[in-house]
Amino acid sequence: MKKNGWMFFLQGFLLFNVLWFFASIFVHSLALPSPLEVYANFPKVFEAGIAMHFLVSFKRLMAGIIISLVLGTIIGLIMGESQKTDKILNPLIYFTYPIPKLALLPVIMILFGLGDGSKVTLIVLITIFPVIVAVKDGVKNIDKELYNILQSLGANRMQKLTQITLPAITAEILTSVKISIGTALSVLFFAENYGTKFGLGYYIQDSWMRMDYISMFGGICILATLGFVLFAALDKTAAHFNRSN
Amino acid sequence: MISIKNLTVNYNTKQEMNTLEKVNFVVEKGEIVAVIGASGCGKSTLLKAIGGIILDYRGEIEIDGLPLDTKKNLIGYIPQGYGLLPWKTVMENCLLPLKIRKIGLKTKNKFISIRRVADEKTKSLIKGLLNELEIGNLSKRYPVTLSGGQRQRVALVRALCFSPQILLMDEPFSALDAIMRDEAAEIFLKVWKQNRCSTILVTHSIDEAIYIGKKIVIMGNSPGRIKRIIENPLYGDEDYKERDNYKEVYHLIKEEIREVETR
Repeated sequence: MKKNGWMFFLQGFLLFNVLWFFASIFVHSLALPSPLEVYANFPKVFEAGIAMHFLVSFKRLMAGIIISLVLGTIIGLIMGESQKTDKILNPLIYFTYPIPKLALLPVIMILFGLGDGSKVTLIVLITIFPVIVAVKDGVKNIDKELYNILQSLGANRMQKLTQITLPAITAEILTSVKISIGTALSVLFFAENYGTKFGLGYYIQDSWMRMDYISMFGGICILATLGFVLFAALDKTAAHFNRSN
Repeated sequence: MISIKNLTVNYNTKQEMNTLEKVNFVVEKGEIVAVIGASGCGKSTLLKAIGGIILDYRGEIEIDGLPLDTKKNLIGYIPQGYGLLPWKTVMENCLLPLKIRKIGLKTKNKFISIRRVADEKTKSLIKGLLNELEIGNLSKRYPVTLSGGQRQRVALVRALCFSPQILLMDEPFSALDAIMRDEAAEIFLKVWKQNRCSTILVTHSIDEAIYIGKKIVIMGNSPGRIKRIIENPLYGDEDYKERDNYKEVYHLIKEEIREVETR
């Protein structure tokens, strides 16, 4: 994301707003206000405390992603290292991956409560599978000669893990999280529908109920920004680790 | 000195067969031994056993009179394809052995985080080697941006910069084109002469073996074993191809290898 990256972003942003603008004229409904109205309303949105809603959502999302990263990496490493564990767990992963995790919400709610517990758990369930698969496959694709070099130098297991395994798969892990960010955000939006008075999901749905569509779109813009920033950050970090391949 | 007594390997995986039967030879201190043979004769297996990578063997591998111990011995190993870590720069790659063995480093306190970096002596040693191999200006580059010849040199610096007792090279020049191969071998000898560690070079090029190997070990296959060891009269001679006995030595080796192949 150097100069070209910003141009790329700007191009997408402008095109999107132009399309939005014409769509609002064409649809001509209160439900689709023009972007100009929405942006003009931003001060009011900030007055209503959108920053706090943003922070709460951000916190929930980050907690989910970090737990997924740590747990998913550990599970993936174990599966990549030990064929026995892989044989046992792989069918389970294959079977549970496509199950829509959102459908488990009632169970999760009962087990983890109505608070942040169930919301974060949902995000973890959504994002952990791609991480496990990325780590597992990543480990198998590492060039064995790299380990041979460390072996001949008398390296211990920890050194092999920190010098070879982890750096070799970091880019793949980040990419897998990046891909599931969108889903994680939609699930968060849904999960902020219950048991909370904070979060962007709550803000958007509350504005909707009050038929304050312009503020609702303000919230949507902020939610989109959160998704975009995380996506771009992960993309950039992944590219940093991947610059060599 | 590396001495190998009755080395027998029967280590087979799904992908590869690695067999050696009763291999015996000695690499004297400060000597290069070239191991040559048809593909599949266990040359790489031999090198991996001496490098402590294949642990499942019978017989003895002794370094300076003591059993091989990768945690105590300093072994420079250059695998086929060089094995540079793609996410590390040239300099970081060269520092890898030092980091693993915790030698030639100093502690750098950068505010709160404490990092270990190369001390001045090591840094100048690595820089010197890089410069000598004419890749001093590449120290911040990543391996993927380098040519095959440059990568080969980086691998050489990495294997030599911690002054190893023994150096193991698995076809280090075979990925290079013919002209660069001769030059690379010449440069290798020049750098190697600075600390003359006991070296084993695995190759399938007869010329390379004649130029670099003081002794030439000819191996035969199924199972991998030693067919013949010859003292090389042309070792280190830049103009070896013009000597009277070049053809004689060349054909001697060639015949031995061919015999193995047609058996």
